Amino acid sequence: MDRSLAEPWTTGQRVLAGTLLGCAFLLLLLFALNIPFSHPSSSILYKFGWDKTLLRGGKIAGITVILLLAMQPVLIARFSLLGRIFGTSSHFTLHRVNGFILCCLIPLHPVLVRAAENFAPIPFVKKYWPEYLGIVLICLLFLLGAGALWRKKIPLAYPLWRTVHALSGFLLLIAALVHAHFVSTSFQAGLPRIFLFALAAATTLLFFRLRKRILT
Amino acid sequence: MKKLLRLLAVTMILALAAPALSQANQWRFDEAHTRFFFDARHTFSLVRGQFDDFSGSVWFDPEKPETGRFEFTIPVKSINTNISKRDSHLLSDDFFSARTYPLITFKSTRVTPSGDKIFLVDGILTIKDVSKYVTLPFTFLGQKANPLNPGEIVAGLEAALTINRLEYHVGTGQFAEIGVVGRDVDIIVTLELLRDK
Repeated sequence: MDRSLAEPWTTGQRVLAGTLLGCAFLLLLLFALNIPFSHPSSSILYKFGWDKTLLRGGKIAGITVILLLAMQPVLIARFSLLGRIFGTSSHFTLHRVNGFILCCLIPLHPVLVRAAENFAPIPFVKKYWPEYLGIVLICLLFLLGAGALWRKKIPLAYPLWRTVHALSGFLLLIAALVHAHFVSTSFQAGLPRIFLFALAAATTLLFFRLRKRILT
Repeated sequence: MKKLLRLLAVTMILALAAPALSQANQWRFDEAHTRFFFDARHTFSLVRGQFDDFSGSVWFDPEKPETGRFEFTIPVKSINTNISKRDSHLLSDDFFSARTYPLITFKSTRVTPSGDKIFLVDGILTIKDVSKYVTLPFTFLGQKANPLNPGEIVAGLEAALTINRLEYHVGTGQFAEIGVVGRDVDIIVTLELLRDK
């Protein structure tokens, strides 16, 4: 049956589906946030006391950002289920709010992680490329956020801006997954690794679903 | 008067040349084949690391060891144990505090022969805020025309030394107490030195 012809859901159905979806997301978030505890990286194992808490906090912030970043394309993918629950117009509002939360949350990640190391500088050598990739990604995320916030001040036609914004967003997400995989030993085996690869696969599939909208 | 001036000139030349004549040969590092290794115990196993970057000067002549001089400067940030996470942890305040103490230095004060091909190099080893007198017992491995570059002479020297890292404030002892990182660290210096013929 054509989904557009399907009967609209009652408020009760919407609340129930919304709650179930919210719970599913919360479960995913809880699983992700538990990674620094259930699969601590070697750097967490070698920290004590306050430093350990700071490092764990930084990692939790980073994982949350990745998960919220992964939600961004979902929110603008116009899934009929999301449309029925939240209404079609609220997609973009959620996308914007989520983007705002991301930009607020991301500075916590490097600040807490580096605070655990007393802000010791990272030597600029090849082996620390995952750390430097992270720095570049934070800058790009802010650029992406600023570009969206002050879109009208950018001398780009809306369709072109949208293509640039969406493409950069996808690349940013994939690069963030690469960063997470190589920067932390937590993600190099077991469930956390599967979690990252599943996110990468879902992102790729989503890109193919949205490619016509993105590239035209 | 002319004779006096000539005598003065000869005396001055000899005076200037004398230290140079008595000084040992100056060598440069074959950087690809000179290494500053360290071994530390991790729980049970041995972790080997090295410093990828170093500089310094070596003056050494096995015939005149007393004229020898060894100076090494090692940037701490060049530490390499093959695991970047471990390296960044070693650079942190938990171990080397590389931001505050970026260099490890060794400056010899005396070189004395000790048995067959053994030369004791006394000097000051500075790690972090601690400078201590140590003796590097170098084994002279020999010298010969460089087989790869006949215009050069190549020489080999090797020394090993064990230090207690806690005496140099490399760590607070927290990791040693829980039996994770040993106190004693073996330092292995292997020098391949070059000079023109």
